[in-house]
Amino acid sequence: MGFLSSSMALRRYRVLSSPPKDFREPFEKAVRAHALLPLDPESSRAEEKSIGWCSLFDENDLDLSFSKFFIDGRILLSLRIDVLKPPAAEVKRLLKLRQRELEAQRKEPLSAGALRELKEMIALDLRRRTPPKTRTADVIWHLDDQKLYFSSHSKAMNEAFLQLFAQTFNIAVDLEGPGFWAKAYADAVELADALSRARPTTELLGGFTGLRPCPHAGLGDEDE
Amino acid sequence: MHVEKHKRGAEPSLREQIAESGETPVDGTRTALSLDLEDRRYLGREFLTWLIYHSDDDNGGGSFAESDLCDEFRVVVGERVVLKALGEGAGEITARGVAPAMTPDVRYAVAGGLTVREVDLLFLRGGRGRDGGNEQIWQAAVSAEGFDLRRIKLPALLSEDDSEQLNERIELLDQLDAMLQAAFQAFLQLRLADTWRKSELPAMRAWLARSILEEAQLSSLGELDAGGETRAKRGTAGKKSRHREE
Repeated sequence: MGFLSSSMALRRYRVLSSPPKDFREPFEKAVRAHALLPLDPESSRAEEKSIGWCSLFDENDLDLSFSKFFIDGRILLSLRIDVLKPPAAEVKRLLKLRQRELEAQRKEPLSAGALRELKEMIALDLRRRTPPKTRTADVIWHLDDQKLYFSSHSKAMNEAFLQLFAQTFNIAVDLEGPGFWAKAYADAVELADALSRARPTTELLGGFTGLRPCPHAGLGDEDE
Repeated sequence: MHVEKHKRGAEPSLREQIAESGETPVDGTRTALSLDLEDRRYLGREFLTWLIYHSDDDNGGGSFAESDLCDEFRVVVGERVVLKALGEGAGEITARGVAPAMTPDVRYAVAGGLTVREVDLLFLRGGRGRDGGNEQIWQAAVSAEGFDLRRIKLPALLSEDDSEQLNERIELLDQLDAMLQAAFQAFLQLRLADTWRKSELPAMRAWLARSILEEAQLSSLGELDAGGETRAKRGTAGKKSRHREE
């Protein structure tokens, strides 16, 4: 559900430091260096996953010049993850089929080693014929505000994003949620002490006694 | 909602086995409470729960005044509210339909210590939009943990050019985020002041009571609202009290 879709998801991150003064060249170099490398179905390497940046406007556009991803003071990119893995069920099915054929021809069972080799051959062949699964999630980084929107809540996508962002920009980010907003507000209006003293409201933890049975009544009392 | 039952002759439950072994059981609720304090995530739950109260027509109608962050706007609770008590394995309620926040079920749950974990919200701004037409409406499901947003729908775009449309989408996303932050700040202003305990919580209590207690019980409780008057709502509120196991 990227930011160009009709229905979106959003998670907020706080970027913990500002970009360097002349960030154009280093950022362009870094983003290009971490652009997605498409998986080669013909390759015999076991590599099954590729993670990198692509254009927010076109997931197949991996030629990321600065003007493509820096627009109106914001960095706009998409995280793309390609996975090339033949479906396990299909490998198993074809293996059984081929095993039966070969054993019928040879009139003897295949050895464990032969089965392993056969499985590898089938997996390799399927790999060539199976298109990679692609997932993307969009990034909008407001440089001046040090705020970043990410369009996925998936654990795997967020972990991949955090790693790729750190590798690309060498800048840390942190989740921005109610705790951060509360602290920022309290500091701005000189309520930091009140915030540090605040504890969960007993009634909203344990219930409003007297209105109905409250199984957790008293929870949090000792903190007030 | 689950009710655990132990039948005679059946194997002891895990809880019973732990109790028999003499080991100290881990209290999931207390553990969740201590985690809650670490990053103040309880404020997210309390905010969304308070927002349901504040969005009631009798309690502010969900209105928020103009601030540094954005123009004045209104929040309306949408068609889905998820409530849960603290701790692993605690009961969870999902209320769906037209105005679920208005139902006695949701208020009964809040009165019992369940707080809002996720809620569909509509953010409304401007009686006359930028085009001089209808007000602008944003929709999103807001999660108490992290204020993650899902199923975001933006108001209709005015731009025709592709690049302008993207700018407009980002601008509208920023405005949605600003409204959420402004609403949270309005809540914090109450929450961090003495008024929270002295007036806001009693008012919430009265609001809950009006929904879930019988009129006779209401009148016997005496002081229920700021005006000192005892009121009972007709229709969805003021129904017979319910006893639910969670």
